Amino acid sequence: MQASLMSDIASRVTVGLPGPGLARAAWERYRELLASGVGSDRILVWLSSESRSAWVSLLKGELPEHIAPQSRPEEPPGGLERPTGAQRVQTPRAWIQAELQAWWPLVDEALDRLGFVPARRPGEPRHVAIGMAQALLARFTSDLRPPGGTLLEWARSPRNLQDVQLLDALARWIEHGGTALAPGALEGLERCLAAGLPELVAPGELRVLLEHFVRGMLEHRVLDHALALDAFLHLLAPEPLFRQAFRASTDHWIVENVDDLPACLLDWLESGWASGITVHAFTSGDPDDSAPDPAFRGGLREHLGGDLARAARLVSGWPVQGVTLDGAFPYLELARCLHAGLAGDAVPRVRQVPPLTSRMDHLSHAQMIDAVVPDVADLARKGEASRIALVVPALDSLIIWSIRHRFERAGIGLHVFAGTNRLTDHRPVRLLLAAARLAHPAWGRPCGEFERLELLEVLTGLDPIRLSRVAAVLVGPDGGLPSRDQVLAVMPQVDLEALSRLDRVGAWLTRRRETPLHSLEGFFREAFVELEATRLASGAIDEPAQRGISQIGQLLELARDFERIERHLGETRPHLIGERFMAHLDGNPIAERPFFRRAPHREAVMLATASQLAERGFRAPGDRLEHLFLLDLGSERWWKHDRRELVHPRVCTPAWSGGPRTLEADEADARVKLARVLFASLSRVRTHLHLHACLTDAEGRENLGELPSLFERALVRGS
Amino acid sequence: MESLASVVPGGTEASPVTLRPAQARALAYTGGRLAISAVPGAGKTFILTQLAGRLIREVGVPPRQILILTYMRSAAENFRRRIAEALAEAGSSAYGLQAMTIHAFCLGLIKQRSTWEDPSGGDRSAWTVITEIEQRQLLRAGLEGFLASPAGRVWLQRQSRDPVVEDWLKELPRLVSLAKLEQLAPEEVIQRLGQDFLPHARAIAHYLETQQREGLLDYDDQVRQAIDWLERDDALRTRIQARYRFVFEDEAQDSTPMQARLVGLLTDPDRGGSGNLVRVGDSNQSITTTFTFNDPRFFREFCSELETGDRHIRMDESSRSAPEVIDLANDLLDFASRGDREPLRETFLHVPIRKASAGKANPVALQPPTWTLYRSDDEERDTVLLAVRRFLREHPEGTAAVLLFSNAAVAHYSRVAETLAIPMPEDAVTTIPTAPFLDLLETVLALLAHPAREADGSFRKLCQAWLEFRGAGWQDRASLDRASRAIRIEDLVYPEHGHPPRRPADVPERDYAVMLTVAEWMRLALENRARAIDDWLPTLAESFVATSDGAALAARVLGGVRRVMAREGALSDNPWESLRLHLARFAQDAVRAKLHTPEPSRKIDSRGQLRIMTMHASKGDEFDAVWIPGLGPLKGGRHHFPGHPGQAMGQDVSRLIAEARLARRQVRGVEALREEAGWEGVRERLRLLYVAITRAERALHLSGVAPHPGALSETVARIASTCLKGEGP
Repeated sequence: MQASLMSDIASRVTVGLPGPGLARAAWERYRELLASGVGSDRILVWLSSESRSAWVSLLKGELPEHIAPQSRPEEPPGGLERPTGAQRVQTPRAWIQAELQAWWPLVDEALDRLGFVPARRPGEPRHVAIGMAQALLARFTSDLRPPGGTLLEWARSPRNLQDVQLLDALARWIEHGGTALAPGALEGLERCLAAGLPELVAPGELRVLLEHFVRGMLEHRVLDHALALDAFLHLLAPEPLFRQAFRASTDHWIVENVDDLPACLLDWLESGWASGITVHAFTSGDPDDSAPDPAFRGGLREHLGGDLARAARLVSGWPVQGVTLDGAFPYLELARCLHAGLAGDAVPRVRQVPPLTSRMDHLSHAQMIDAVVPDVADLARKGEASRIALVVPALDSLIIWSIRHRFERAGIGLHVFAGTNRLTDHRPVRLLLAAARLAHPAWGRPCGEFERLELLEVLTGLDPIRLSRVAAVLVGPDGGLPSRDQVLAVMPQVDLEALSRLDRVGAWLTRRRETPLHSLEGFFREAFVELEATRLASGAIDEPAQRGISQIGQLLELARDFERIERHLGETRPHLIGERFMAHLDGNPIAERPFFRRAPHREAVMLATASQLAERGFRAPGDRLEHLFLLDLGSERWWKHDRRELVHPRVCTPAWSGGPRTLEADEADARVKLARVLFASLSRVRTHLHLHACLTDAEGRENLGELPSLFERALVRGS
Repeated sequence: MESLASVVPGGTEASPVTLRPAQARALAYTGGRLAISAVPGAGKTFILTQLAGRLIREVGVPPRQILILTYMRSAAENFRRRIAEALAEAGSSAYGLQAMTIHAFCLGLIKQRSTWEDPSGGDRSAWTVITEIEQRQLLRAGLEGFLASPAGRVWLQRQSRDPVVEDWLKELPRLVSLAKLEQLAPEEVIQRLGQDFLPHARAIAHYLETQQREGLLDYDDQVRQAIDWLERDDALRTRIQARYRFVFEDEAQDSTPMQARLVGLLTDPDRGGSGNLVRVGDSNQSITTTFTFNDPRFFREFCSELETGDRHIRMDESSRSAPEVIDLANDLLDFASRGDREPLRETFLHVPIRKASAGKANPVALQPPTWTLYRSDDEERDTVLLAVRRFLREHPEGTAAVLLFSNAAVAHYSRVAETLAIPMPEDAVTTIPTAPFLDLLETVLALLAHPAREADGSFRKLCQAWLEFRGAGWQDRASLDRASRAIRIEDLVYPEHGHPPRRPADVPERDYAVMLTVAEWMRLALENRARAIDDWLPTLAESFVATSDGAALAARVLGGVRRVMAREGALSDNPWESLRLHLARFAQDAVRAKLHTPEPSRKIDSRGQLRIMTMHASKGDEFDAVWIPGLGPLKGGRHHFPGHPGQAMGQDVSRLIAEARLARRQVRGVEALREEAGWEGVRERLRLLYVAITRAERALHLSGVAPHPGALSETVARIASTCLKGEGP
């Protein structure tokens, strides 16, 4: 197959520094193809989800600045020729889901043949994300893991993290070419775990649980990401009809971040599947002027199934094209030195020290942040806030908070990709859940006094002290909200608007109690309208309000997914769905996603880990990362180890034959991983690098990491 | 020798540093085991720094292969910085060299073996490191659980005694440490402690079982777990041994048996190690034996083993102090080692300090050491501080220290020194009193849980706390009562039409301003109920206590409380009440514990300033002039000197018996136990005094309080007479 691709001189690989240049190059290639007369329906594009959002905007005629920084031209956006037919711009995952959906009868039959015969045929498959997959794992294995525990009772990690590890093991197994479809297929995974992790107490227990999960999922025709990949590669792709149709409809295939593709997809591509199709692969790399060939520097998602070596093998021999960069990247040489120092033995020194601020001697984490805030505030005053990234070794609530509250005081917005609290800890969500308990007392425990008063506080606008003083008499006849007269009797100062709001909500709750529930999501939508929408419509949509809407959006999505799956699984009794959903929220610490489906509402400094910055890119106008603050450089948490209590991504692969996974190998992996993310983070900085280290971490423990001395070595101490 | 000079800070090819013979011998080291016993001021840090530099520069050892283990964070940081600077001056790099405390090394090893990245970007581990507070909570749960059980009630009946949970809780952490040192399983603890100590045994067993079940590590476990893995996991041991081919241990006299085993495991050639181990210490400066399991015996044994192979270097020359100060320190050695008190003879190794024969010369004394007897503590304190002030005026570039036995004395002297306007370096760490801080958080949570019920009480408590955190008071003590009678709290917190009620005429304006500020603060807290607590409580707490540590402290408390909540579940449907209840439990065991994690201290440039510190804290420092007051026959067991041996009292005896049982030590009886504990206290205090004396470079002033010289203890009398001899007629 390699030969067939080699013979196809049109296939090529483009290598560029991680960041806007590479993203833009892929877009330009698409434009060129369209301009040359290729119909958009003949071009399959695989993009990361971030790039896809940007492309969708471009295709609509909008111009996200980080892809096309020029001002809006008179011509169609970016010179794009229109109309061109259907657009096939998707993430690989979405494309696979769509293909499975389109060809489902073939897959459905194949599953029947494999013995996964559904008790009731549900029609189309359901695709679920990780959160729902966790809930289903818990559901399908509940008999094996009763409260007293029979399987995995020896494990120290909490149940929800055990589930994540189990699902990860399965995903890595499939991404690296394994399958869960054949009978006894997971015995191979068990053998890998046993050989690779000799200290693992009972790999057989993991297998049993996963087998139950897979059977449950497939018999109900529910697919998570890994099972969808498995079904696609082993049930659909081999079908001649599908293959024929694919080739007949596709001339060009643009693959962004080829180095992040799962190993099994790379194998599939290499096996001749793309024969006759021109593949345009794009990958992160270092087009070093002094080297004959650009070096691949991607592989940021190897711990999530990517395979840099296989990607390199796939494109070896293809013509290579470098991406020309706009402007200067003064830290590129430093990024190269650090990469070499971390991934190898020697640490080269930079020829010329770029402009930087280095403070490696802060005594404590707090002192370090205190020193950083004025610098960031100065830059923010100059309008640079959204061109600044703060990178920390790990994001936990203590670190996020220690930065956030100082920034708040200094009036600086902060954009962080991590939730710090449970979704249910926030009032907007709590209120909807309280309404659910009032409207549907059968959903678990009834509404408590605290929840009732909180609801009243929001509806009447009364202060909590005055309200609580009369709490005892503010109970409706059915234990719910009080009537208008009850309120007026003790709180005559309540305004008419609040009373009518109370009446309306009370009436709605009564209606809800008397009317059968049709939809869980519908209920929460109604509750949102009744409780919040009017209030929000009358007030300014400030940051707390936006965040509240975002939290509610997340709850609605959870409810919708949960209900869909429940119905798909055959559950038609709404009260049971509601009860299970409430139990699901109580039992799983679902974190709030603070920027759920929205960009930061104002100019904000980005706070991220190095891998987040490297993988997700930098969301600023023009993607111009002008100032990078590397904080807590002395921490050893910069080195990320993939070993977990139950699994190890590297050994969960059918190709694993290396015996016990050694700590040296883990350490080497961690160094390479850090080398890659630091290269991707540093190489894109334009103006100034700020290095900060402290002697103790945020919890006051001694910092032991070696990055400060690595930087000193590369930069020549004192220079 | 010249080649060595190039790696010496301040020593260049042009002006090489002259080494003393013992130092030169130490620097000739290229491998194998080596013991260096060094008297105070012999240059331990200097020699280890140089040795690391020389191995890297001249022997070609990669920096990654050198591990320096210390007992103090400040020492680790000092080594890192000095070696990096020395090598940078010589155009080389220390990248990869590790200098860290033993506990940090062990924790790093544990984390590395069991840490992973979780999807939210943080790190998770199958092991959780718990604080002293959580340890107490678990022990309390075990103790109370046993006492509430039928077996516990029967035990109490048979013993016909009331439970003294709080006293037992004070004893338990040390017993837990000992049980771990002895590697006892829960059932062995119960067996060894016997019926008399059944509650203790059951609490320890409960603690050990919970730890095992939930993967909780306490401070002791960090070393124990690391040793366990290094012993059982050949691959791990091989990897660590391959990484660190040279291990240096600083302050080796402070090794516990566990730590001695750890450095052995890292380097033992019979277990695959390189055999390259350098241990540096001074068993005469072992000052933590009474409250830890540190024991200078291990270092002494190590030195003895190497005696025959000529691998034990004695660095007994010191250039730190004037000869008269050295003489006094040596006299103390003589008194203990050769006196007629048998139990004191093992206090010191009789290694007298010698004046430097080469290199930097000893300083000239400003005057011989002095001794003064005062009639009262106040007289002693005031005279000492006035003398310090005079000294600093006469020597504006000089350094001065007052070294004391206890933290309480340090606080007292510091307050008076401040009133006398004696310049002192600013304390880098602002401390927040634990109990009031936790009380503040609990008050806020109570208010959030039950706004009406708690409003008045919270307001009163918060007003009082507001003033206390600022070291202020009411202008009129009755202000709050008067205001409460005249105004409803809700009108203050939520003023109608935005205007607070008019100030009652009998409430002073300043006091009313405090009330309005606190009311506004309460309103903010109540409004913040809309958000998750982690998002706002730390910031609000910080604004309340008015120090930047408040926020970090609140976040740390919340983190600890949440961990317990995750383990035990919610205690109420009301989320604030649930948090409050958990916090109350946490606070119960946190009052005696330190919530602050001390920051690594750096050597402070205190020229022209006075340092007031405990003798323990002074280790590693040096000053031009040192005052050591408080050497009279003080009251209380821990303050006694020979002639007045300290007595282990009440619960101490109970603990000593339990310890003896756990360690299977033969004891002749309670009296013998008391006496042995008393003598151990005396020995350690003599070593403390030795450390304090040897901090002085050019002037040393000792003093005590006693009605007449005959009331002094033997040691102090001996010191006094030596000083008085030096002062001449």
